[in-house]
Amino acid sequence: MTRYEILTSSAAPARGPVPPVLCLCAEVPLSGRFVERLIAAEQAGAHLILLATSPGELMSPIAALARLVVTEDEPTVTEATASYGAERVIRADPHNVASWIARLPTPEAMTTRRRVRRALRRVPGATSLHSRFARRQQ
Amino acid sequence: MHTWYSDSGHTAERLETLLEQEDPIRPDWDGIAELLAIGAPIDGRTTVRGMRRLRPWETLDEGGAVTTERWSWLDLESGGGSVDAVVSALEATVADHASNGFAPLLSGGWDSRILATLAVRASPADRPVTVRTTSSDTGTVLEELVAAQVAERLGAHHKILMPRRDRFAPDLALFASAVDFQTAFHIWLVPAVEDLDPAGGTVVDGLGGGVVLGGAFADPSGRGSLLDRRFAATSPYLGDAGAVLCPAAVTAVTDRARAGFDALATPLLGHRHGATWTAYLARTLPGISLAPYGLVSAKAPVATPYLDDRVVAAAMAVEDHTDGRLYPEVMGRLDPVLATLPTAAELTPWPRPHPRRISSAEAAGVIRDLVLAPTVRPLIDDALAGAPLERWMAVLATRGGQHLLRGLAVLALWFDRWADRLGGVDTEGLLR
Repeated sequence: MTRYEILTSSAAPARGPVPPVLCLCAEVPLSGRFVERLIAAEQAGAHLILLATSPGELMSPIAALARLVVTEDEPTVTEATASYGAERVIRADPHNVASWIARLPTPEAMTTRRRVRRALRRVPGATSLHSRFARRQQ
Repeated sequence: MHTWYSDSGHTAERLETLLEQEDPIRPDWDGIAELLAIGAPIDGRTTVRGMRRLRPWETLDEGGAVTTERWSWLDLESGGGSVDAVVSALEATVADHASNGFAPLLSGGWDSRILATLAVRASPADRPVTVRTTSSDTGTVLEELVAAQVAERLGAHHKILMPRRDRFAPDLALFASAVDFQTAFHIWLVPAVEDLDPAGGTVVDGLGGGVVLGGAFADPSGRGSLLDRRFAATSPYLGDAGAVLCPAAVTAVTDRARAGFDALATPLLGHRHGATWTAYLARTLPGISLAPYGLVSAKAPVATPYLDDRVVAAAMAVEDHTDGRLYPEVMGRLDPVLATLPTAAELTPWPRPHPRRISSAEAAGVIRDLVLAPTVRPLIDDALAGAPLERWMAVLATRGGQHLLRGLAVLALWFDRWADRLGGVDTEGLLR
């Protein structure tokens, strides 16, 4: 199963490599190490996902950072669809991560293609060869 | 910063005020070409013939006649400057507005970080500062995250205003009207401006910081004459023009914008600060300044400290401040911690992870409908016009394509606004 991390007010943010999915709760204030973890996640290209249970949570500072919203509350689905766009709303139980996490695409920055390119970037000329190979494969 | 006048001698703080008395309205195709290619009409032009914007070296007498004198900034001394003098000038400029309190706009960059710090320190104790951040819609949330770090360090209340998908059309319309349809640069700023409280204090805006303090527009190396390279830096959007504009429009827009730019920039070729002043006159003043002095000023009082004479003189006196090397030094005099905090630009990854509003299906649909209207359609490449929405979304995800489509959308709104005065004119006129 896709690795993920849940950032709540009761847990200190993890350190180390960022997983593909970070689950966020609206009540977490943007401060200190939480912000540092979110910066690391954004740099890594991880999905920042808001676990929402009411429309009011969509007004929180955390909500303004989320790429996706997971909720099963209908008013929240309606409001999130209008403000984020339909493709960024997942209708599911936000607290049952296993039930919806498989629907998420791998973050672009974490795909094998991108990892290979980053590794090849250390070898002069290798990335253009990789591009030509990748184009033929499409 | 902002005076419009007509050939008939009338002046106003809003171009709209002058146009309401004008019939017919005749398009200035050179100004329109510059709006598309560069971001705004330059060198005192507007999108309307007979309507002009006062240039820095011009003044208007009571009768509406324009007099010209030498622009004082051209004679600023270079040398003998210091970081301390720059800081002192900024503190004095910000202090001028302290009694009103402050409502800074805060991004993840140096300009607003420095101003927010000064504002918080200068603010009266009974007027706590709220800083506002919105997404610049460039595909990450790093601006918001770095701004949160700065706000926490300053002890300021921080509001993050997320741009809504269902508000793109009204945001575009509000922005275009507020700037008199003369630019399309800052549609993304609308959510932050809409949240401002008119009585919430002066909005300190970082206009000009990159040019005056950051030395951001040093001449790029490369092939071509100096004029070629400065034009390329002023209009880096034309490389994608063929994906948006029909061939005749690519030629017309490029030729007219280049001619206008050359007239503006040629006298500055030999000046020791020619790169800086060219960027200021071609980009900062015509287009960027309409964000604080059009969009923001309609809602709340605004100040732009980096363009105060005291700050400009102090900054230009520092011999070499290209590539932003002055920023951490100025910031360090105010707060050593914020001087070492990375900016959003320094942290931004590739690929960009966050969906952009402007390249969403909703926004692409709004823009497509606007630019395919009969008034603007003559300029649009036939392949794009007939392409599915996904193609429009892809073009909006490119720098040049997005710039051109934003400009065309604002132009379409301009034609709508003044339809009853334009006498059925459409953009075929640009192609003749």
